[in-house]
Amino acid sequence: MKQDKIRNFCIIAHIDHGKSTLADRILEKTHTLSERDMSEQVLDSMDLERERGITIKLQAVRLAYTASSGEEYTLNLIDTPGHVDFSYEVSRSLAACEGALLVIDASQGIEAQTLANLYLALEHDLEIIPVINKIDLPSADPQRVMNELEESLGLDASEAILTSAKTGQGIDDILEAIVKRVPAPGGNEENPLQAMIFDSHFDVYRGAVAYIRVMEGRLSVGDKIKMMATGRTFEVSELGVFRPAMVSVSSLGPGEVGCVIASMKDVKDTRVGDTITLSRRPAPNSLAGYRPAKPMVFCGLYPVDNEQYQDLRDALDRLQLNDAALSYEPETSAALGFGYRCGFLGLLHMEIIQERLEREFKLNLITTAPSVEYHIHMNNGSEVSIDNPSSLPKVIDIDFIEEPFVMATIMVPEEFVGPVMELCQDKRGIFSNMEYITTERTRLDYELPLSEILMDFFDRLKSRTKGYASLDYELMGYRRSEMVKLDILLNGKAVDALSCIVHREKAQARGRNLTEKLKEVIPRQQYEVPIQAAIGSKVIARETVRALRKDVLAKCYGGDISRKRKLLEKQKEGKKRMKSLGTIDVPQEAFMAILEVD
Amino acid sequence: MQTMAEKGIYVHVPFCARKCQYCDFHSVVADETFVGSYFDAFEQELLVRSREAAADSFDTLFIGGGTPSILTISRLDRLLRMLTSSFTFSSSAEITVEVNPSSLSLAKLRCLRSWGVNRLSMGVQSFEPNLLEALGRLHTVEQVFQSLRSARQVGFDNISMDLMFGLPDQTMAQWQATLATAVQLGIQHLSAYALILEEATPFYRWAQQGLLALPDEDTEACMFETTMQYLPDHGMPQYEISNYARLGCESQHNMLYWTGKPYLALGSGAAGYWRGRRYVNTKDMALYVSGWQNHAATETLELEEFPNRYQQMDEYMMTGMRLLRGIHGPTFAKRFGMAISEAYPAQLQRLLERNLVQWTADGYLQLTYAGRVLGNHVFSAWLR
Repeated sequence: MKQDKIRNFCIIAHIDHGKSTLADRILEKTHTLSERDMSEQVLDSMDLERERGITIKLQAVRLAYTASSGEEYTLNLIDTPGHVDFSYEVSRSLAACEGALLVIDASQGIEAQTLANLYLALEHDLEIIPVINKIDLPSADPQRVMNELEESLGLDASEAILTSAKTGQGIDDILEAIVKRVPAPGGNEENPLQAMIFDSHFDVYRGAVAYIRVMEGRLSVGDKIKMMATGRTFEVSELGVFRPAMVSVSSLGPGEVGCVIASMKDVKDTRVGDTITLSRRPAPNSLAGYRPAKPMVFCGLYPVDNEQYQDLRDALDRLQLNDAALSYEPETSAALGFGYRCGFLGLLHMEIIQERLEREFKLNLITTAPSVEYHIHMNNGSEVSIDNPSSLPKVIDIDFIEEPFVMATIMVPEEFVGPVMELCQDKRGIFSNMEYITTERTRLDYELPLSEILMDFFDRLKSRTKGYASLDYELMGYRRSEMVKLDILLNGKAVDALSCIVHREKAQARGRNLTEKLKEVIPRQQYEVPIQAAIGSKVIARETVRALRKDVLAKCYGGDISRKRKLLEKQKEGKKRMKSLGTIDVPQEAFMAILEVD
Repeated sequence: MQTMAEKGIYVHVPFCARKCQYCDFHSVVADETFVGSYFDAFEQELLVRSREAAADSFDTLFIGGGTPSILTISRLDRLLRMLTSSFTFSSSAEITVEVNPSSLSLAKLRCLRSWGVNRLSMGVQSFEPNLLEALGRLHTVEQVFQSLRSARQVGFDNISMDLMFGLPDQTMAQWQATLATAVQLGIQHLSAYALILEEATPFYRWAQQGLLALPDEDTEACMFETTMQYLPDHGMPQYEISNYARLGCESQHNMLYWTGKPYLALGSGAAGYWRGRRYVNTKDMALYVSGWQNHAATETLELEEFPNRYQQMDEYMMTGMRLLRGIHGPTFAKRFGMAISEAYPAQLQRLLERNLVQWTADGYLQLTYAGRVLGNHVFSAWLR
């Protein structure tokens, strides 16, 4: 394959701006798939992705394209995840490309993720092809979007391509622009091999499969390879490209994109961002930008039924094969028994894992409220990191506590700036910058504690802005904060799994709101259940769930014992979703209640 | 209590003059032609079932519905003749028919009486005209009194009434007045049911839409507790969660359900337990009719199961604990080959700790007072 006829590109877009549909049309146009074979949105393969309308795992597809000049091109479309939790993965797939289609919804305009992804793409020197999508919608306003492109992104609006991925309009223009405007990949076949892993997945039959972009040198079947970050070596048993089903190839040269199969046991061997080189002739250095996946959000996962503990472990093992960013270690809670403390890239990542555990592995789980990692500076000068509120050392031994802060970028229509600033202030945000993108759209930058973003910040943001705001953030570092541990007592007994770490100034209100919320979600039981919130030994709020007065099936349904049995079983099933803490049955929502109060 | 009934027959008459707004029991409003073809099929079923029980003697017969009393006299006559000639009943058998005060006449009552019907179960529900109307009942309060007089006139001396509490707009005072009226009427048996909102009923829909002013949990609980206090104080002890009777007038037929005894079931939608088999006849009337016309008995079943020993045990506990006297430990052990405490060690301990059940000196495991109001916690505890 001629290197100068390769084009590697990706599509970056804010969620719902039509990335997946555009990808489908491109696949169709290049006859990679016939219309008949298309199930809608081929690139999103997991059910969950479809339901949530987001792409979690990236993939690469090789397309054959005959340009209007008559020349044959090989286009590699590299898909990118569209959520802030996966920004590192995005950065790696951008690094595998020379160009990017920047897709913007003609009626929505530029959003926070558009911006964040564009900056990332510019950092990687990608050629940007602006694509204004959904121009068939009645609400489309391409001219406004073009103004935004010029004014706030500094792009040449005359280069923007107007399309409708839905109707197929403008797809040819996009393909021509890719071959004309995106540069051919560099790299020299004679150099030592440097291939970047931009994604991986676990295949039951093949083990870990690494998706790579060859930067320098050539990789062939049979080669002994070395992972430069981990130092581990493997022998390549198979190389493949996707069109979109995998097709075996004998080698991959500079600029090419494909996958490597080499009897790698799990995805820990194929770390995203790592460089693959050859054992016999290693590259002098690895490619820039590697960073081990670092969890930012932590929570406890406990089986409702203790007998499912081993099943939970097996399920986590299985999921981790496919997800290097998921971390977990055994944890014990006095209230919940044996479980796992799990680390995630972000809230969405956490929800996805939790849902997969329940759905695919049929586990019935209690998830404790997510926490960030705090740095605790002790009086004796030592420092400990904790990600579980119940492991906070005694107050008397603590000098001070640091918590992670993020720089949040919020894009919002001008009219909502006030409410958004109010929200950020309320969430302990520190104003950093405000900028008008157009006369109607504003960009706000705030320094915010990550823990506050976990507390349904996004939902609140959406509701205060009628859904118009978009959010992106990145970790800035740790800052000293006045944090305290808020304990919840049920029936006079502290429930460790309900403890949380909150800012001192907010403790009183949170305690009050949390007890109120718990009163709502804990059903009435045989005996009344006092709920208290306490800091140390000081009770700051109290509510009571009154005792259940009556719960008895009146009718006997003739002799239809089976029916009665089913009714009672159904009722019992509801109880099984609850965790028994002593004599109190606590539903799953209770453990997440802290996220819904403020 | 009189000697225990051992075997019974339940006959379902799935016809009503009108569906009540809260009711999800199987019944339809049908014309005479369809009722005719239904009973043709029914007689086929009766023939087959009577062969299954040729050697058995029955202690109870319960004709329920639906509204059996809306059948014409000639049809009631034929139905009872078929039943009494096809099955053998013991001399003291309890024979009950469910009746609606709006569709009773002296002639009908005489007909029932002539075939040996000795117990009436009257669907009264309330003595408040506005509540009767809201429920969609066809009868008036006056018709209840009239029916009772007529029934007594032809010799019925074992009469039960169904009453409901927890109704929309029903007040505590109204319920107390209803109980007092029932007691004054001097009937032998009372079933007092809390309203259950069953899916697929207008009431359920209305409640979802917030259109029903249902009493709150506390008021409903209060109504239940008042009933449990008032009726026993007035000569009608509670013997089951929803049932009260003068001594010796407990429903023999319902006792069969609660004590794991066998009963045949006939008619569309009827549920039986016979020779270890639980079955429910189809509620699809067209299927019931065509199936029995073709003598294809198996096709007309909606459900058929053979509970294993553990299921039998669970169901025995689930139903038996509804009785206030409870379950006799030695009887359970004899029937299932292990003690209750062996079969359900953890569940039993938990319920005892929570004071929902208790052992009596004579070996019965029974509900405590707390257990009665939270009965579901006890009934469902045994289900695995």
